[in-house]
Amino acid sequence: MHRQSMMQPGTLEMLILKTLKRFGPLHGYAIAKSIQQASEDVLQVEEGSLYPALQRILLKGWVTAEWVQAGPKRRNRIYQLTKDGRNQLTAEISEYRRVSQAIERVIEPA
Amino acid sequence: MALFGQFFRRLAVLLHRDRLDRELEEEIESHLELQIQDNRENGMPEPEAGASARRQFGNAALLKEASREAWGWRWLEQLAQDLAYAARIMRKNPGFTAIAVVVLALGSGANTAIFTVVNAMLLRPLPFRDAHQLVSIAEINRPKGIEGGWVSPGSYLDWRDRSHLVQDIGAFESQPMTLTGAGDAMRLNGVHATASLLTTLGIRPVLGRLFTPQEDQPKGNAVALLNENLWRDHFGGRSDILGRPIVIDSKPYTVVGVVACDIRLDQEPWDVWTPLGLGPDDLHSYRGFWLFTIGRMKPGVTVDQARAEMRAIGASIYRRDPELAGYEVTTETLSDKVVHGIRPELLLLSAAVGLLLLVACANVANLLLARAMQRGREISVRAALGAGRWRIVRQLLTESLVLALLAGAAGLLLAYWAVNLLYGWMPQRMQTGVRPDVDLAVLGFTLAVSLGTGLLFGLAPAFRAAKVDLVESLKESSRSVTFGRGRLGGALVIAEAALAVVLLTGAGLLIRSFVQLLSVNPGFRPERLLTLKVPLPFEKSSARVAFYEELLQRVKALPGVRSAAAANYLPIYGIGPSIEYAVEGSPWKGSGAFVGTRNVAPGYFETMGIPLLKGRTLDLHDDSKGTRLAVINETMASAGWPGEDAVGKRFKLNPSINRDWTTVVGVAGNVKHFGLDGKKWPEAYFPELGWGTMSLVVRTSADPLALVPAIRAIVRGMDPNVPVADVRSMEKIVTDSVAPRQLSMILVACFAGLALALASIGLYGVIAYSVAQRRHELGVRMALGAVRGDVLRLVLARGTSLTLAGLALGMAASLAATRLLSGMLFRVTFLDPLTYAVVAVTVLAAASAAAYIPARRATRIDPMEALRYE
Repeated sequence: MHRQSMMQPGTLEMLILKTLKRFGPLHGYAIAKSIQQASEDVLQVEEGSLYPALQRILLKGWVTAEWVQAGPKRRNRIYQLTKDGRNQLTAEISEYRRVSQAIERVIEPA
Repeated sequence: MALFGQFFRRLAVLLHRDRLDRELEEEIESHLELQIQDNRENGMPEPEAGASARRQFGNAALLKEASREAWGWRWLEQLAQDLAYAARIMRKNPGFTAIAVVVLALGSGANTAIFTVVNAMLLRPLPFRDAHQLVSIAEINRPKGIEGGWVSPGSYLDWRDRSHLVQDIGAFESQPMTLTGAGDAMRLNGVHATASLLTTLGIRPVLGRLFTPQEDQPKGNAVALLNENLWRDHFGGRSDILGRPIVIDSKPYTVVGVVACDIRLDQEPWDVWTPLGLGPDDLHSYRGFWLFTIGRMKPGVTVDQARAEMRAIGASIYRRDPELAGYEVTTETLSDKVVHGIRPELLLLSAAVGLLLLVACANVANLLLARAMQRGREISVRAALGAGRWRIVRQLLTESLVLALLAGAAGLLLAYWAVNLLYGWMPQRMQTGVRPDVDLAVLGFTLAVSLGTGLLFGLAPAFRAAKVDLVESLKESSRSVTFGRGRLGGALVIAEAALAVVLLTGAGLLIRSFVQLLSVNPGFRPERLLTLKVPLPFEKSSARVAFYEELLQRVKALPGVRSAAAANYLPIYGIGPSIEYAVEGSPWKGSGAFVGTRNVAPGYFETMGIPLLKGRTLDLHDDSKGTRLAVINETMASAGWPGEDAVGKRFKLNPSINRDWTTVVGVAGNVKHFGLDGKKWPEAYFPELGWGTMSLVVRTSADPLALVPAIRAIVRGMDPNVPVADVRSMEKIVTDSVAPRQLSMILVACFAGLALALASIGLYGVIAYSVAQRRHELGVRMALGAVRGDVLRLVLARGTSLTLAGLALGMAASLAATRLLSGMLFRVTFLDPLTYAVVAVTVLAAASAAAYIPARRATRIDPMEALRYE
């Protein structure tokens, strides 16, 4: 509800999808760490906000989740990209490119 | 397809919420463990590793909430939570809940009750097929004051044949009828109707058939239709009634059908329908007005179009005959005509009851404010734990709405009971035959009122409470938890007082009017006067005269009877036909003076107690002498012979066709023939008993109704086929005539009283609250030497200033609002200073009493205790 985020709404979802596409199926903790590492800690996501985002894209059908036993007393929920998610990612990335290039063209000549 | 999948996934979420909750918990737990493990591996000490992990993760509770929100059923869960919480809160404060529900139930119940009546009588269409197409068409003559709406047969037939926009017009004449030959002789409400009236209204027979146009001819068959109720109650609801002969007014009729029609188009629902039978003779009869007509407009035609067409047809008729100068045709929707008489009263009651609801809302809003103050800490804690402002507002609003819905349900019960009571009280004139009942519209109205009031009284306190200063209110001192209730509460009390003042002023004006009305001298003495109708089915006038003369003789001989007489129309609720007249010696101008005529038996003036001003009254033999004799009233005397003695002068009725002069033998005082608030009208009394239906008036020495069995026995003994109808004491006739005014007066006065009580309670609450808040200050003042009188004044001053503000506001609003009441006032202007003064004194007295209780309590504050309390 009151997430302090410097990201646009929807960006986190795109990053999750991208991470899953690049590394294959992962659990939440691993997704959070990969995003932080890949962005060289620029994107300091409040880690917990990952989970509402994961719930949203689960409902949209862009990822599926499966519980995997990880030790005697613990199991992890592993997320995997679906075909819908892959399409969504492609669409979002090209949209993102278009917008950021446009923004770049506006600020570049300065 | 994608949306479809999402829908099913969401549905699955709803069904497996508990499991998903556990899984989310587990996932977050495992996330934290992994982080702690990593932290430890990076060499972080034990407590620090966990704390850092949690910090990095964020507010887990909030994020779980956000995840659940993503599932999309959060609102439902929260609603359930809020409802459960509201129920708990209400159970915990039964006193508060009861007061709030009772106050609101009074408001919503009163509104529902009035709406039920309004709905049945003003909003619902009349029970006819496509009722919006039905219009009532009438002829009136404003210059001559003829506005009864009667129509001449010639005009009716012209309209029927010449109108293009009105496809079908029916005409009728209401006529009391006497049914004999089946049990006791019975008085019925009958109607002579054209065959087209039934088809125009779209009435279908319950049994048998309607009239045919062939039967609706001057020499058509004597056929009759029965009302369903009469058929069931009197003829056992048997289908072999069809084809059976019945005797109406001593003539045989054949029953051809049974119809269901409860609507009062004229006075009463009709029991018997017989054909009107207009013939070729009536084609040219434009000067006698005795029909009512109802038309059905063609689909798509508006009332304005129909009105214009009928007016044009009428104008072409009236142009041909100078006798008809001043006449015009009016057209209004049938529903307008039916509810015409009660619309102002119902609108007045709706407005009054709406004001009452506002007062109730303000009252409960004040209660909620006070409670929000008590719950300040609870709300602060919620806010501190991360509840958003909107979330808190929503929770508080849910509580208000639950209160309002409970009150709405209670109000519905109250209204159900009240409507039946109300309908029973309603004078006949106000009943249109449409019995008000609770239908979907009423349920919807109550629901809307409940939700609306819930929002209205809940919104301000909820926002006020949610705007809490966290740091301040979480500090130990409970005194600092204030929500500025003082000002908002004061404003609410001022509003309540102002609304109550408006209602009180309205009620005061209505009461004053009513008192004025009751003080009107009716022109006769109504005490211990019995009236009853004795309609005679005899063809011959001489037989009727003989019957009435003998009847009067026998009634006069009864013990307990002082005198007895008869008249064809009684005062207050009956006016005789008004006839044009000309005074001897002054040229008759063709149109002008009208006089109401009444046929009376000798002794009428003495029995009624009507004072004789000049000359003599009528006696037994006046009728048989060669010349016609009459007693006239004061108004006619001064209109016909201004400044002269009218006794011995002569006048002529229907001067255009009549040659006989009538000689005035006496002048009697004016009698209120049109009701107590009615206008003066010239009247002439003729000595004549040959009328078909005369009303007996009997002056008794004790309770007039005690004589009824004896008189019935006399009538039955003289002729078992003669019914006795409309048995009423004259006092009852007078009180019935003012009953509609009385009803609206009583209701508005009740609403005003309730509003005043609520406003006083509201004031009491605000003053009591301010005393509690200023306990410390008052303690200091008393410690510094303030005496009780000072404290009392101080507290009362706050109450008085609020009251005066409300009074001023209310008076200003009353000046604007009561102007709308002008039409309902009688011998009182809407600016009546007495009413305003009494209202001001009443409100100040009630407010002082309400403020005095907490003020007294304030003087009992022990300064030491108050100071230690801090």
